[in-house]
Amino acid sequence: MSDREFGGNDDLSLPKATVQKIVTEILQSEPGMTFAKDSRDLLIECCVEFITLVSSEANEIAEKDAKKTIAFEHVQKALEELDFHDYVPAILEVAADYKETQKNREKKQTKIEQSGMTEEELIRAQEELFRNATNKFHSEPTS
Amino acid sequence: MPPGVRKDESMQDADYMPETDVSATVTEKTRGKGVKKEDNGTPAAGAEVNITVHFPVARIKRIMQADDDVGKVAQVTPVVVSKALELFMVSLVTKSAAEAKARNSKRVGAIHLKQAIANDPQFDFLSDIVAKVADAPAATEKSEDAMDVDGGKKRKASSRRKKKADDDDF
Repeated sequence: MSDREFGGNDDLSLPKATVQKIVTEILQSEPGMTFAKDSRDLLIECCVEFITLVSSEANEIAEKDAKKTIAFEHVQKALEELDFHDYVPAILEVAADYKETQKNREKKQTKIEQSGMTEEELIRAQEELFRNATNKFHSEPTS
Repeated sequence: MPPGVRKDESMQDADYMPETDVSATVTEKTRGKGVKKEDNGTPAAGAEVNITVHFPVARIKRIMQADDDVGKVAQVTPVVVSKALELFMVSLVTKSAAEAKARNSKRVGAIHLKQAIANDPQFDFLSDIVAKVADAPAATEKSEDAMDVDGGKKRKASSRRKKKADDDDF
C-alpha cells in the first residue's frame, strides 16, 4: 500500500529539481535554513493540488460563461473566488507581458501580408521555388 | 569544504552558506523575463522574493487537463497559472520556514508545513494532503481537532497490549 504517489499514472508532478531551486531562492533571506526532502515532496503534492483546484474552479467559471476554453479571465476570477486575491496583480502583469510577446510574434506574420501577394499566389510561388530547387538537385552532379 | 566552492565568494559573503551561494549568483546574473519585483507596494507574504526559475508550462497544462472536465485552455492560461503557483509556493514555503523558526529548527520539516497550512484559511484545501503527517510530540495545541484525524492521541493502543493477555486467543 503506497501512501505517497509521487507521479500518479502519467507522472503528473512537477520536476523536483525546479522545485528545489525555487525553494532555495525563497529561503535566501534565511541563511542556514534548509528544506527537508520529505517536505519538498509534500510541497510538490500541495502544488499539484493547487493547480487542480484553480483549474477546476476556472473550468466551472468558463462553463458558466458558456465558453469551452479556459481563458485568462476565468483563471483570474477563480483565484478571487478561492481567496487568492493577492495573486491577481501579478498575474495581470504576466498576462500583459504575454500579450506583448505574442504581438511581437505576430509582426512576423504581417510580413507575409505586406508582400502584396494573396495566399494562393504565395503558395504558387513557394511551389515554384521547390520545383526549381528539385530540378537543380537532379541536374547538378552530386558532390 | 566540498570541491568546487569558490573560496573568494564565501570570503566576501560570510553570511551565505556554500549551497545558497550558487543560487545567489544565479539571481544576480540572470533576470528571468517577465518576472519583476513587486514594487507597487503589495506586500506578498512579507518579503520581496525574486524568482528566476520557472515551472514547465507544458507540464502545468497537462496537470490541468488531467481533470476530465477540463477541456481546452487558452495558451496564456498555463503561463498565468504558473505565476500563481509561484506565488503560492513563496507563501507556503515562507510560512513553513516561519513555523520551523518558531520551533527553533533550521530544517523545515513536513510538520512545519502542516502547521503553516493549519494556520491559514487560504490553505484549507490542503488539509487532507497533510493529514497523514504525524503531529509533533510536544506541539502547542494551536491546530483544531478537525485537522487531526486521530484525535491527537499519540499513544498507540498497541503499546499497551504488551501486557500478556489474560485471555487466550485461539
